[in-house]
Amino acid sequence: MTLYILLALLNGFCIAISRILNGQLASYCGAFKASYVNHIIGFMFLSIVMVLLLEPPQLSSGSNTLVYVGGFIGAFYVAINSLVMSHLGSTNTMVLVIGGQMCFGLFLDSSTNSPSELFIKVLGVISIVIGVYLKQAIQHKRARGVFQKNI
Amino acid sequence: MKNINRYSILAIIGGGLLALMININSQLALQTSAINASWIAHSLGSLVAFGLYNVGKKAAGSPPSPMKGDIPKLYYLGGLPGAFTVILASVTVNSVIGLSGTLALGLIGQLVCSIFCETLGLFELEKRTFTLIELLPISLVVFGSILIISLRY
Repeated sequence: MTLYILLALLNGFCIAISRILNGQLASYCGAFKASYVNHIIGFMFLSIVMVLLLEPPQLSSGSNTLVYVGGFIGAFYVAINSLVMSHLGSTNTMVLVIGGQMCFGLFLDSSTNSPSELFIKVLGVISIVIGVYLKQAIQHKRARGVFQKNI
Repeated sequence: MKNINRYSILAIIGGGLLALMININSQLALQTSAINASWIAHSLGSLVAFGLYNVGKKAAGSPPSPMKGDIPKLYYLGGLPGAFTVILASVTVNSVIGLSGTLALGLIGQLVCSIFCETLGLFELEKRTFTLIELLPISLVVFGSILIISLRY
């Protein structure tokens, strides 16, 4: 369990660094080109890793073709995010996205059985969403009057 | 006001899609391997991103008020941690902490990392001094994550 917790935290670090670099790139060439570059670089890197590990590409063993949709969603999300961001600002967007992500995550997570478990999980989500809101609100307050970059 | 509501719903749907994406990629990883799932997701994602880039270029022209000058080479490398993201998430979603644990802990990592980078001014981010008040949002996210994961024991 501890190992997986550390891996999940490390995953958060990767997401943050990826988003920061992507945001910086987007400030030069726009969100869509940055997203394209991001995907291609990740793809090339993984191709090299797979060659080095002598791992041949495999397709899904199951019959469900929905498992391939993940890649599409990631690319489309960039479009949704930049559209919403331009209308609602980064604080609102971030909070709503995290809220939607956590709630739908709970829904998808089939492990929740009893109502009391669900209650605790919902409490957890609410606490997280408030935390993200505060983080963004603090950031905004400090950045007011200063030139602000959207990350 | 109507518009704001519409975009709010879109943002919530966007977040839901992200959770769905991580779940789907993890299922693909379960059937093949974590690296393979990340590779497939990135190859298909590249195609869509390329299409969206071309559509966007036609629709909007050049991006509004872009920064000028040479782009630092480092900025092109966001795809590297991005590649690891799918791999790591595939491992943790299919583990005991599950999807909600992965999402919650990932948020802690993101918050800590972004505050760390801003405090040191890494990646040419605008430098910000760290204040104690920033511990408040982190503790709320940590508290929420503990609530979600504690059920796994």
